[in-house]
Amino acid sequence: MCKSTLVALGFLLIVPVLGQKTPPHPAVPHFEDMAAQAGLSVAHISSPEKRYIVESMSGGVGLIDCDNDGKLDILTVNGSTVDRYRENGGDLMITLYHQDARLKFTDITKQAGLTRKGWGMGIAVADYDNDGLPDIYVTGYGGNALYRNLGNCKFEDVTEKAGVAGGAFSTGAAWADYDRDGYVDLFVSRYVHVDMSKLPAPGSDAKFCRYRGLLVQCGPWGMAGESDLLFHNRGDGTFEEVSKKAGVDDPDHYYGLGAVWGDYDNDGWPDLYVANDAGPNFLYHNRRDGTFEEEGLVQGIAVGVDGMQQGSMGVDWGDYDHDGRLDMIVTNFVNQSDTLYRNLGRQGFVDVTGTSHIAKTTYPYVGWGTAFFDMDNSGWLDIFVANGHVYPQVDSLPGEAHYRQPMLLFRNRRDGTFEEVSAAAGLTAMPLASRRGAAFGDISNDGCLDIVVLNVGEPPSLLLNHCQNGNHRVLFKLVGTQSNRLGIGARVTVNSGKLVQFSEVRSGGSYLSQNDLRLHFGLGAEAKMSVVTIAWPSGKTDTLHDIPADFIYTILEGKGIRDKSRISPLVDSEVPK
Amino acid sequence: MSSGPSRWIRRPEQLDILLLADTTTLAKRRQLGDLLLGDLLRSRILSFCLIVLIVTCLAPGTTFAQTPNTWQTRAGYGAPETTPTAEQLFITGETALRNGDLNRAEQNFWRVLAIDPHSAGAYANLGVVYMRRKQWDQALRMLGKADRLAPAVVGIRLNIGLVYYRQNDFRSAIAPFESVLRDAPNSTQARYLLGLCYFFNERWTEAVEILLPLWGEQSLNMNYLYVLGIAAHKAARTEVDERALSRLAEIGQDTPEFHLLMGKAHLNNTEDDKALAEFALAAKGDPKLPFLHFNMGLAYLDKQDYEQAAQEFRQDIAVEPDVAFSYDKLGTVDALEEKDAEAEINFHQALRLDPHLVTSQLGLAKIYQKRGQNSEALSALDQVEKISPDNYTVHYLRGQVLQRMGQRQRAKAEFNTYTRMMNAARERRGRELSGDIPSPELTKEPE
Repeated sequence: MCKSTLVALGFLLIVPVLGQKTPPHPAVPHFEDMAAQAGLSVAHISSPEKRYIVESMSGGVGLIDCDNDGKLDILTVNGSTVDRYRENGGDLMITLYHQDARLKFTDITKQAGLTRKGWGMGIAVADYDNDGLPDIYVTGYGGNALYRNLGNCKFEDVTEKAGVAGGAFSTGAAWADYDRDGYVDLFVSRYVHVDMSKLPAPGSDAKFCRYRGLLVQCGPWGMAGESDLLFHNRGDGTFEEVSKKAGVDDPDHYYGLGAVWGDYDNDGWPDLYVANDAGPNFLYHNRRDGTFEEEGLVQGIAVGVDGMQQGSMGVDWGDYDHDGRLDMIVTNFVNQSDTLYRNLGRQGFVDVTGTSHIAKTTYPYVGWGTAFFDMDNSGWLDIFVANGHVYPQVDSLPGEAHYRQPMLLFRNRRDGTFEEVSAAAGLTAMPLASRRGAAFGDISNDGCLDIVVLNVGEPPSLLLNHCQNGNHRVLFKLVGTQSNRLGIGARVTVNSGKLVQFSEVRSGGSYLSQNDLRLHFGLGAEAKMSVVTIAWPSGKTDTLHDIPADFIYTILEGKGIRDKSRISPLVDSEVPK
Repeated sequence: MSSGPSRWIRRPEQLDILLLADTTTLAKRRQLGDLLLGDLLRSRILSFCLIVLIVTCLAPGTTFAQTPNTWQTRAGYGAPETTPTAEQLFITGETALRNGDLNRAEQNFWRVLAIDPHSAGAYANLGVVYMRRKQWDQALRMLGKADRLAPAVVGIRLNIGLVYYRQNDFRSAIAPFESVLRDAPNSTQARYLLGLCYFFNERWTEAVEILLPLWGEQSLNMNYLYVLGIAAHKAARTEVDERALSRLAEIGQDTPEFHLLMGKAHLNNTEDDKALAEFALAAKGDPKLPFLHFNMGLAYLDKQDYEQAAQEFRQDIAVEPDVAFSYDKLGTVDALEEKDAEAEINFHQALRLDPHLVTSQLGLAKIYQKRGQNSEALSALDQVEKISPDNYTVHYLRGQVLQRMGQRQRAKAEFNTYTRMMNAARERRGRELSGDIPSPELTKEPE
């Protein structure tokens, strides 16, 4: 049976799920910020006034298991200030926290050799040399960094050797094997042109450096944008910049931010979505010959419902309605709702922001890090959004959304709509902050997806998800053999009971952040999965039958399950006090 | 032009002028409050100007009154005694125009032109006839001819500006108004209108410069003070801003009109709750104050409280059933709530009242697109393009419809047009940074 027929059948099977009688919603899980107790203490560096745009955009966070010990370690971008950058070339670009024991972290940045200075913006993790060790790419202003993992969380700076320094004001980064040659390639989005010796003074322009009458940082309007970059992995530890040849260089120089790969048309080839601030977003369709065609407008996913450009920041793909197709969430600037695009297949995407009920809540905030994630293991993807204004000066405006803003959590109501449950989840009670990147993963290995959030000028938040509600769940760690080693781009489809759900291994996404590379599925009341299918980037497919839930499985391409460990709930004594 | 709170209440004859505004600019900007205030301003200013112009153009002894003498000399030769002369025809046309008999006026002025094709006065008055009928293209053609024949007559250029202005084409209106003001620096109307055009084009600094000299005669005019205050605020002219607002507070006192203005000011800053508080005070004083419920609807719409917004728009319709904007916004709310049938009815009603309402046409196009009524959608989009050729979202939506129809090449062409126009608009914004607005700090290293 040809693939298209299978896809069509899948569609027919999946469609009735939306709106059918489903089990009641479990209680909204409670999130608790454990950052301080867990040892995440390094404050992000940022000037209080944010006089220049470069001081407002950092940055991302990431999850990596840098020593393959089965526990996620945490990366946070450090940021910098204009003064520090001018005087000392900036700061260490990232901080690496090693998870020594469950939820006990130690800052090992310097021991790990992550010592390049600069102005960190974003993080993406991949095993670019297929040695089985996850490597780190850091974007930044003035130059990026590639850290090759030498094992045991020791890294070597191979930026120049690999040829991926990039330069200018790099923001988003996302790895994927777009030509399916077994090696992951790297896309880097870039923002505005900033010349450190000619910075426009805050308020210096009556149009572009003011906000509601306040004198604020200039840009991005009025500033020249930068092109984007695509580094093709030669397979020998070096890369070739091919953005123009591939058609993803952004000749119009829009202001690029979040980037994420995903196979939106189910053809087995990774496509690329790029969020542009104050411009139309890009959807690059993979033409399977090393080139891409920009189809954002054609597919109806580039701009708002009226064709108006939005100030887009963070992005994620996810099949929130179980129709077998990837939908898209995009976070946007204040007074523009975050946008939810539903994938209709051949008919492109439709903006369902209003009808899904996320418009009103997200409208007053500046949205950044985001994801579709199953917060309660119900089998349905919920949405999280980290918010925070770019201008601290807005605090002086009465009645305005403030610089520090709340996080938002939306529960999937399984009928195409979402319900805001931030308060029930405990998020509303947390201190406000101006937040940026957010990374999602099971940091405590208890089967609940936790969240790390970057707080501008402050230490990060570690939102521990207390989701124990009896629902079953599973995590898959993929190891490619013919495909890239971390299985980036692989799609896992899980059949459990009446639900069919799928996810893809992705590097990058959210806002300049890196999620857990393991794939998590909530299974609701189903204690086993009837069928699990792994479609690898190599084109191979592995199919597993009758797999018990509540394990973390390691699956080797072509070999099936290589390892498994039972998911164990956190006990009180393991929760740091 | 007199001013003060008593002038605030819209007179019935102002209604048709009010309906001239379309939402081209509204769609571009989120300053609906400004524009609607502008509508009120326009309604007053235009009524005044129109009367002045007609009088100016037609009164004996004015520039145009000299023209009939020419007709007499030209038409008098060989004319049968029963055939009216050009002068007689002109006077008949003038009387008809004064009496609002546009058909008769038109007929007579054309007959004048048949006798004397170089009659600037006849062309000018035909322009006025077409302006009254809102036949803007014809009006422009006639006024253009009149202007070529009588380039020294500033009133014609003022009318040309008005034709653009009434179509909300504030950008095109600037040149004729500037020209009038150059030749007649004391023209209050031209100055006021030019100031408003700058205001609507967000040329804040110029708006302040042009409007400020009117302080002496307009400082009791709340609308003037409001516009000046907003422009000064945006242009960082703090002293003017404060002066205008202080005066506004001083003369406004606790009147409903004052609270409506203050509410609008908050609405402009998307301070919706504050705006609603002011509107509530206005409603306390005069629950039927024109545009009060409309603006309350806008505030609720901004807050995405669609139910309340719809209720306010309905209330506004109950007070003023002939305001297209209220139906337009009600349709917008319906569409947001996916009540497409109701939205369609309201958009149609809005368009009956004002066929130039871009948002209603776009709203209809989107409904048709959603329903798969592609040809209807395309037809609505064609209308939008006619009304608002600079509206690049038309090309996006048309591209979407064509894409769904499987006409990929045509769709692609539309998307390319959209991108080109959008990029041009982006570039214009970029140029403003380095060009029009002096910003020496940009090239200087900060202290």
